[in-house]
Amino acid sequence: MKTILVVLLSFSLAACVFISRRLDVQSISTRAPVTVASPVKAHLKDGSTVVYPWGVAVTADALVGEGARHDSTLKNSTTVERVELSEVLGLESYRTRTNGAESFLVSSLATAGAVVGTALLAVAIFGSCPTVYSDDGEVEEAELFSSSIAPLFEGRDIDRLHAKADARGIVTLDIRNEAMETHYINHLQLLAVEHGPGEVVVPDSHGTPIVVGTPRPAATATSRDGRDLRDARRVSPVGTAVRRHRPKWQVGNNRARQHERARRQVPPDESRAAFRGRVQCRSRASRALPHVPPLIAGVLHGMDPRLMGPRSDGDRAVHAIRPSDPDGDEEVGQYAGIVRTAIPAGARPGPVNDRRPRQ
Amino acid sequence: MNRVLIALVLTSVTAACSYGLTVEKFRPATDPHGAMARITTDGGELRGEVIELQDAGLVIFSSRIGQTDERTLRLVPYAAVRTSKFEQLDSRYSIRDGIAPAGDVRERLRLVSRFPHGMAAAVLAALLKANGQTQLAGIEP
Repeated sequence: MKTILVVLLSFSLAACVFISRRLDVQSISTRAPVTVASPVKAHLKDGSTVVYPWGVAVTADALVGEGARHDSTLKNSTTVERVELSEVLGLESYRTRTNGAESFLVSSLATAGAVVGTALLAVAIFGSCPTVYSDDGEVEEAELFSSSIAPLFEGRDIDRLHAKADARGIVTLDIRNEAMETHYINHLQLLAVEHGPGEVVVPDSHGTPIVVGTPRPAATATSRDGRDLRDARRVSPVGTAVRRHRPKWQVGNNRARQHERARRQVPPDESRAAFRGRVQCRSRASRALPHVPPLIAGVLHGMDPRLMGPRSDGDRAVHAIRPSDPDGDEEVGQYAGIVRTAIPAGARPGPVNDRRPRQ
Repeated sequence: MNRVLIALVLTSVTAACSYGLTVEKFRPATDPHGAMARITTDGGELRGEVIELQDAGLVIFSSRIGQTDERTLRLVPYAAVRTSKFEQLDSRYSIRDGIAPAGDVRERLRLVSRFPHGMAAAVLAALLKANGQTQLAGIEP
């Protein structure tokens, strides 16, 4: 892990490091012996030029090194190993120098720019799923629609919540969009499942609430790195499925009215506002059953607001707690500030299985 | 931790991007010719190898732009130079507006000429003879 980190950091930093180089041409004194490892040109009294591509050693009386001697017209050249200093008019060396101050300045600016750019990019591309909070936003309950990352993947999602109705039978949830992205939530709904004191309700892989009896803690639960997760909140108890409840979704008779209501509740001009909404739902069911713990609340996505209509399921009921009363007489809940779910004015009811997001 | 830091720094530096002129890129460093120049004068545009910097002007082995067959050793007076550009050198190493170069500009141009230490009379004569000239030409056509 450390190696990967080092490699990644190295490449990241390398992308920001710029080394400024410049050419340096200098005359070389022949008064003292010196060895030059970079290219050198020697100019001789007869007009010849000797090029030493790999450098030369200046001794007390000669230039020693492999070079090419060109006559003054540059028409002829020979290889030389030694040239007497008495023949030499002067020498120049060519070196590459590193401009430290400029390198530091440019690299610092590039690094700062990269850091700022990366931060801006991270903010720009960071996304989150709609997150449900309870207890005045203090308790994170669930993160919704994790797989619905594009309109193509629109679908329902049901999550088990720990929030309970208060003494008045009201469940208050905050649903937040915590990143700079657009969410289209077509439908939110709470489900309450009656069950006995020793039973737990969990959704199955299809979103169907299952009542599980005789729950007992998991014997072992470990993460990939071996940590014991038995105390983690998300580890569900093991039990035996007692029964399952299947909500019956169907088109209500008052589809037009519900559609109009939804349009009023989410005006299109709010669609650009920050998404920090609150769902406050209250129903006859929750009022009637405030003593039934725990309340399981499901939040469904991708469902047309017209597809509402809870139906009881025998003695044990699944109650879909709607944001509005189907009769339109009693306001049992409201979307307050749930934005980006705007339904355009004049939109016509679509087919039941139309899963396209409303825009 | 120190090894990690050292590895990080070394990798960053070795993989870093570099810019600017280096010996490997600078042709006159390993070539006996002087740097190439492009000079604009009142009489036209010249280009050629810088042979020598004299007090009065620049000796170049030139051809006129558009006349590639012409090869002439010329003395271009500094006063006649309007603009100039020298091969692979920064624009600050140039001669313009008829002003003779001075200081490090003159020193750099001298060092990249073919004869930084000047030409002896015999050497100049040999060059002129090899080029079929008896004396240095001027900037006139």
